[in-house]
Amino acid sequence: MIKPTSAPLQPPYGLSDLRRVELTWQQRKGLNAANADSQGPPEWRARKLVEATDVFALSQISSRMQVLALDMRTELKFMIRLRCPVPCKSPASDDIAVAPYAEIAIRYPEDILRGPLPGYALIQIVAPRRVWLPNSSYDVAQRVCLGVSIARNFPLKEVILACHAAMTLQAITLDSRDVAGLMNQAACTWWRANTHRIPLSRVPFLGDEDENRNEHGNGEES
Amino acid sequence: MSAPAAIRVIPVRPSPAGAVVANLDPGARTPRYLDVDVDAGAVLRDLDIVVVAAGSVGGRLVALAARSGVRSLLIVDPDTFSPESVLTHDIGPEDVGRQKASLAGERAKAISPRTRVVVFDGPFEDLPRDVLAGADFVLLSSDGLACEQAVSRACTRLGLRLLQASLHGSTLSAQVRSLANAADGDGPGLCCGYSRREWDELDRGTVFSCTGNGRAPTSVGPPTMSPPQLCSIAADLAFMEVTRIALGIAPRIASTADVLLDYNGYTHATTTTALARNPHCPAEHSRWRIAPWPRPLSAATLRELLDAAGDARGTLSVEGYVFARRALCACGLDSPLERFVPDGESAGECPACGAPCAPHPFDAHREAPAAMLALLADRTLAELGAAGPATVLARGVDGTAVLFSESFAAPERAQIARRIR
Repeated sequence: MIKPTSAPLQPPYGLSDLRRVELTWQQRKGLNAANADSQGPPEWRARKLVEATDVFALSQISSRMQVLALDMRTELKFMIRLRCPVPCKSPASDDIAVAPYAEIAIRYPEDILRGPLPGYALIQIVAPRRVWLPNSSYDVAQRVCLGVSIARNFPLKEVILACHAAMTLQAITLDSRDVAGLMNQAACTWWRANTHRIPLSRVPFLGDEDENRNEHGNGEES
Repeated sequence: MSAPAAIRVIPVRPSPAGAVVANLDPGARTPRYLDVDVDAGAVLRDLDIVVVAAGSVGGRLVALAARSGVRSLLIVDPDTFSPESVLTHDIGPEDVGRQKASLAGERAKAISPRTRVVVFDGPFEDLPRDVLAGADFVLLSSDGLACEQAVSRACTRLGLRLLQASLHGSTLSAQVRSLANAADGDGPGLCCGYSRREWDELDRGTVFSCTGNGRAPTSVGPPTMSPPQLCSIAADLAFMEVTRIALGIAPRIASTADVLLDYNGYTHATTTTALARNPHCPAEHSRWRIAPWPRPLSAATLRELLDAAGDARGTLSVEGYVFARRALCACGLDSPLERFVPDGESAGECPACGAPCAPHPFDAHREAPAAMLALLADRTLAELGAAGPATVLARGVDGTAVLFSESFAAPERAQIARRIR
C-alpha cells in the first residue's frame, strides 16, 4: 500500500492545483518504481506518468481516497480505496447494508488518447461484493458505468470523482429506459422506491472531515 | 443481448440465369487501355477487395467490383435498409429491413459467381485483426467517425491501400481520399485531416450500450443528405482510382502517394490535393509486421512467440483473451490463476463456493509483459487456456509490433470464415 501523508492538505488546494501538491517520499518511490517498468509509445508513457501523479496528488488533498496499488507496465491501472458509504444487498434480503468503503480497480487504457470509450470500460468494484447501485452491474465483475461514453482524453482524476458520485448516489440513474449508465434494472427500481435514502452521503469528494455526516443510508441528518 | 454477427461465405445460387452468367467471358467488355501493356481484365480479376459500409456509395462499389470480376470481396456493414434508403440506394421497397452487407453480397455473387464473396453483418470493429491482411484495396464509405478511425488504423497497421469515398450534399461535392499506407510508415491516416469539430463530433456522437457487452460503438447524428447521383459519382470515382492504381494508369508517383480527389457538381471541376501526415494527429499510426505462423498458434509456446518477435522484453497480446493472474468470486474469494481467459467470459469456478469467477480487474492484462510470463515461457497457449486464438500481437519495447497469424498465408479467405464461425 502506498501511504499518503497523515492528514489531507487543506484548501486552497483543489483539482486545478494538483500539480502544486508535493508527493510524499513513499508516493514518489512507488511512482518511480512503477514508471521504470512503463511500456508503450513515448506520448503514452508520458501521459501515464502525468495521470498517475495527479491521482497521488488527489489522494493527498482528499481524505476519501487511498492508493492501494499501481501498475504502469501497459495500461495504467490503479487499485484505490474510496472511503464512502457503499450500498450492498444480498439476493435473499429486501433491505440494503451499507459498507464503509469500496476498493475499486481502475483501468486507463492507451485507447483513451484516440477516441471515446464505453462508460463501463474503466472501473470495477472489487470490494465489497453484491454492490446495489443502478450504475453497477450486479454480477461478479461489478462494472461501474459512468455514462454512454467516456470522452477522449478524459482525465483519470475526473473518473475517480465520477465514481465517487455514483457510489454515494450523488449522481444516480433512476430512469430504467435511460441508456446513460444503467447497469442494474432491479437496483434502479429499488432506489426509485427508496428515494428518501438518496444520497448516501452529501459529503463532497474534497469535503472537510467535519462535514462528514449523513452517511447512514437513511437520508437523516445525525 | 444479441449474438455477435458471423462472417459468411455467400454461395452460388443455381438458376438458369445464373448458368448464363457463369459461362460469360469475364473480359468480354474490358477494353485495351491506351499505353497499358498488361491484360487489364486479368489484373482486375486478381484483386482482393474489402468494402466497409454497403450503403448508397458502398453498395455501388460492391457492384462495380463484382462487374470487374475481382477474386474476392469482403463486405462489412452492421446496418439494415430503412424505408428512406429507397431514395438513395439501388434497392426496391422489397429490400427494406434487409441487412445491407448480405444483400450487396448476394447481388455481387449473382453478377460474378467466380468471385469469392464473404459478408459480415456486424461492425468493422468486431472483425479479427488479421482479416484484412492481404487485401489489395480497402474501400470505405461509412459516415461514422468511429468506424472511419478504426478502418484507417487497421489499414495503417497492415500497410493496406485505403480509398475513402465521401460526400457533401449541399455543395454537390464528392471526395475520394487515397491513402497508400506505404512501407515507410510515414503517410497520413484519415484522422490526420480531422478538424477540432470532427474530433469533438467523434467524442459526442459515439454511443456505447451500457449492457457492458463490449460491442462496437454506434454513431449518432443526422443522416447523410446527398442526392443519389452524387452517391454514385463518389463510388465511381473511388473505383476509377482502383482501376488507375491497379493498372498503373496513374502516374507512377500517384500509385504510392496520398491524395485527395475532389469533384464538385456546381462547377464540374475535379481537383487533386496531396495529403500528408499531421504531426499533431493523436491517432495511432503504428505499422505492424505480419508474420504467418506455420502451425496452430495454440501450439506455440510463449518463448517461441517472443523469440520470433525478436524482443524478449516486450508484451504479448492474444486476440480474444486476457491474461489473468488472479480470479475473483462473488463470494469475495480472491484466488491465483495465471492463465488466459476468453475476453468477457468466466475465469472458471470458485474453489470455495463453485460459482463462476471473473478475472481480477487489477490483474487481468490484455497485453501481458514478457517479465510477467517468464515462469510460463515454455507452456503453449493451449496449455495456458488460449485454445483458439486468431492472432497474437507481440510489441517490442522500441515500439515495433509483429502480428502472428496462422491464416494469413492461406489462399482462401474461407479459412478465416470457418475459424470465426
